[in-house]
Amino acid sequence: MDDLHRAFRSPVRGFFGARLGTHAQLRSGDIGFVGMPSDATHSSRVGARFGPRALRAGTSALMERLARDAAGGGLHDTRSGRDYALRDDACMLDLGDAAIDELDVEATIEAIAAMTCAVATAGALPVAVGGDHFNGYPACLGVSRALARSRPGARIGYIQVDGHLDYGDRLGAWGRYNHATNARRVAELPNFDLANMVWIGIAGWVDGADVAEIEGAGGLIFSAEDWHRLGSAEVARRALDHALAGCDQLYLTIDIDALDAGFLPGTGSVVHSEITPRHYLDLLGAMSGAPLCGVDFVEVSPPLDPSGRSEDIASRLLLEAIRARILVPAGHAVGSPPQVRAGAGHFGRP
Amino acid sequence: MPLRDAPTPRMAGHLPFMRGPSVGIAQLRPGQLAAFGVALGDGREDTSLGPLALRETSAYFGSHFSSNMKAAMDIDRRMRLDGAAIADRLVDLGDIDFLSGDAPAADRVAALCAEIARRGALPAMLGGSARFVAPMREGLEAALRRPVDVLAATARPPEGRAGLVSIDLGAIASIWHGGSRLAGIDGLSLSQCREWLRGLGREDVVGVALTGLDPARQGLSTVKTGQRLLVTAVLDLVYARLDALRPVERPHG
Repeated sequence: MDDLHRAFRSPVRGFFGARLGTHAQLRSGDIGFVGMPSDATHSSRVGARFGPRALRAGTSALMERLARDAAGGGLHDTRSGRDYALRDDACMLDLGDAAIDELDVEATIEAIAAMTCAVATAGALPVAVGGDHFNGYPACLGVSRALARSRPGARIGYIQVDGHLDYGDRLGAWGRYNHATNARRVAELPNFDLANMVWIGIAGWVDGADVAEIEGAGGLIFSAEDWHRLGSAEVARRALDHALAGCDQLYLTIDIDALDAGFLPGTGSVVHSEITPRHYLDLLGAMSGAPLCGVDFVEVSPPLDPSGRSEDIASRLLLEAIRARILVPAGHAVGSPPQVRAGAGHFGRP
Repeated sequence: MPLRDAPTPRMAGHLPFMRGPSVGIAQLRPGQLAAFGVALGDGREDTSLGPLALRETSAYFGSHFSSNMKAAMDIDRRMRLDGAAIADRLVDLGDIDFLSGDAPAADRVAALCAEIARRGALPAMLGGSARFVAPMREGLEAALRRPVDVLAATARPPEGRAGLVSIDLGAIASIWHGGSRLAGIDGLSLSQCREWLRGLGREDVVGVALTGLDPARQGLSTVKTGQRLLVTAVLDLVYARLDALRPVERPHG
């Protein structure tokens, strides 16, 4: 495939410029990206199936800029005032897209779960990119299966950044499997417990029965208003404390739609939360160093924002979510200064 | 599947405002809040599709008439909706028919508002152009035989006077919606707008008008930000007026 595209001067670029590969090439500590281009489980405004393609382009452009800056004068983070360097030991591979079958949701579930399970089994961090938020469930399912095998009995903490709870049991013609039920499906997995599940950014009108069930079982919900009142750093601290109580691994699911639609309209289920990209950056940055065992990033819908702004913002947010795996404070870079290794592309193991 | 168990249609078929009952003017009862559409623009903005868009978006919020949500709750304010306080008190009269007859549009708006007020109900105009706020006020003054002040963003009725609440999308800062050509960068945020409207719930309010929405405008209108903002905002006024919200305790403090 590489040869074919090279002939047209259009190299295949994975997320963050990673080269394409298979799970067999992954090692412990690596990142394995999985595309989930499906929005058949979204009940209203679709378009998130184009998310992985847009984010491959967006994150690659972002990575090129970072590499250029790093090679020039270094990476300066204006928020923290700190300088960063690209980790030389970071290895990211893009495993491509899962096989989506719009007419067979259970086959799609298994296809996605098989990929994230393979990444997690290799000891790498699966980062699955959707697609609508239902795809977060099979992504999580794969991680759950891998950890159930490697560490039977161990529980996994769960944090969901989202404008919605997604804790319904069924939704009309979509039944049990749709973008409003994914969190409940995760809660039903054997190594997840509501007492270690946290929601951040929930906005507006929700089903109070779901709230009562979650909170009654010890789950924790931070509304958008809570996020404004407490600030991102405090919300992140409390969320991590709660999710990781009795657990040493965290699954992080990031739905971009807690962002106010005024900033990020390119998503299927908009909210008016007054949550800004800065809120997300600060929150995700604070969580980036957590003991992540899996990440999914969903609901970027490029057709709903022809300006392209939504996918650009989303690319930056995805970087922040895994920043600790890619960047280190300047002076603490692991190994030699970053460089593009021949034949590898950025961050690919030759 | 038995029909009674079938999923509630969400965005298809007849969608009255907030999924409320569709009624005729003769069926109005005192104390009801009566929505009606004025599907006319003003040449500058194509606000004629406003009523349709507002009703469509309100369907998401019409949980008290739907089986899709068991118990609606405002998670930000930790308040649950008492459906019994809403049932049959929020009705939809449909759009004013401007095609038949010769009466000017403004006169028809004034006449309808006067009739709603005479029946002891509160008119809620789904606009449409903001130019119909003035005839709405005239109709209310004629029916109530007292002066009515138009209350634009953050205003409260002066002591002893009645207020017609005018919520124009242009009053909300354009950064949040981009759905009105009149929008400015110095307008309200949604939270400011909601706080204002909540405070009006117990005031002497005799009517409410939602105007200035151009749902066909390119850009953020693609994801219907304008109508969501207006519906979200007006619900604070409606629920406060109908005393429909109850606090929900937070178990984790």
